[in-house]
Amino acid sequence: MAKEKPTTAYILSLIAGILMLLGGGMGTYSGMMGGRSMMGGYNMMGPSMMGYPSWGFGMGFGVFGLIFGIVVIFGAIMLDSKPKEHKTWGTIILVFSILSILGGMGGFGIGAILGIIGGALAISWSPK
Amino acid sequence: MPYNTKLAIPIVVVAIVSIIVIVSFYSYTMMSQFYSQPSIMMGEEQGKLTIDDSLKAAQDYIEYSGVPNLAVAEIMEFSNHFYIDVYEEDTGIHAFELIIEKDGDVYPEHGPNMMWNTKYGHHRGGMMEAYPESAEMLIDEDSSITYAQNYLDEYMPGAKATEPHRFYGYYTLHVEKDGNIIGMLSVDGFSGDVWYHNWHGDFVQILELEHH
Repeated sequence: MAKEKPTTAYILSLIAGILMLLGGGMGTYSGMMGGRSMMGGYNMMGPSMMGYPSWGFGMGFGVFGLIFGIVVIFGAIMLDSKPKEHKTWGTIILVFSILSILGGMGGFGIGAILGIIGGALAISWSPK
Repeated sequence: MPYNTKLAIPIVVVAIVSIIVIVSFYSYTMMSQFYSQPSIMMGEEQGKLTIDDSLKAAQDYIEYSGVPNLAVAEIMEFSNHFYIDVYEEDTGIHAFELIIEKDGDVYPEHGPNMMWNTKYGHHRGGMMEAYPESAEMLIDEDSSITYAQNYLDEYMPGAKATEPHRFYGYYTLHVEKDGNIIGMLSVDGFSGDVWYHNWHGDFVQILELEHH
């Protein structure tokens, strides 16, 4: 008989992590390009007006998004491989999904929401 | 169902509330920092700025920007605000334009300064890198006067375009009538499009500082 796993929580968390990675990647790219195109209005009064690439700001946000995305994906994989530790990995997924709002745009918002639901389901999972 | 929804739903609610709190706090902090920047709020006194005050505010803004070799070329006082022309001392090319409100707020001028400036503006390097980040343009200074004058002849008969200032990607010219400055306009250095600065109000006085 196959081992019981929190599959729904795993899938939601995995999708959330991927979205956060995408958001973080776009944020990092935008930061490297001086915030041009992807972060449009943000630049109007900002560093690029003065001829500076906004690396420190835009890129920092993007990198945080990448890190949060990696942690959430890692948490999802660990949740799937070690379902007995579902509370630990669920909590990690939940916390980093909340924090992802501050980096990488929370996986376009959807990533953070899916991560929160996935994390909550992982914590509340109760195998029969 | 292997999930305890009575536990999961409160966790989701708490998490969403946490996000709202974080975003609210973050937004408040960012806005506080933004409005406390010395380059944004130069008005130490709530009274009206004089043209000398505006020069000091512009110089503080330039210093705060950290970009070397920039200086104020000219200040024009209009009824709505002060217009500041900043140039590069080493190249002599005009860098960007600022607006200083009479209450002290300093910010980059919108319009051509944002949209056409290929070095300091919003479209640095141009859309899709179409334009170089240099002051080399398809239209020269004399032609910019022609484009500007054609516009004025059509929309402001009797007005004359003078003193083209070369920026990165465009020119900004004075508009005069009967020998007196009445406004400004900019000419795109690649397309020849004309953008009249209709936000300044009535001209009051000018302070020219650039030494050619």
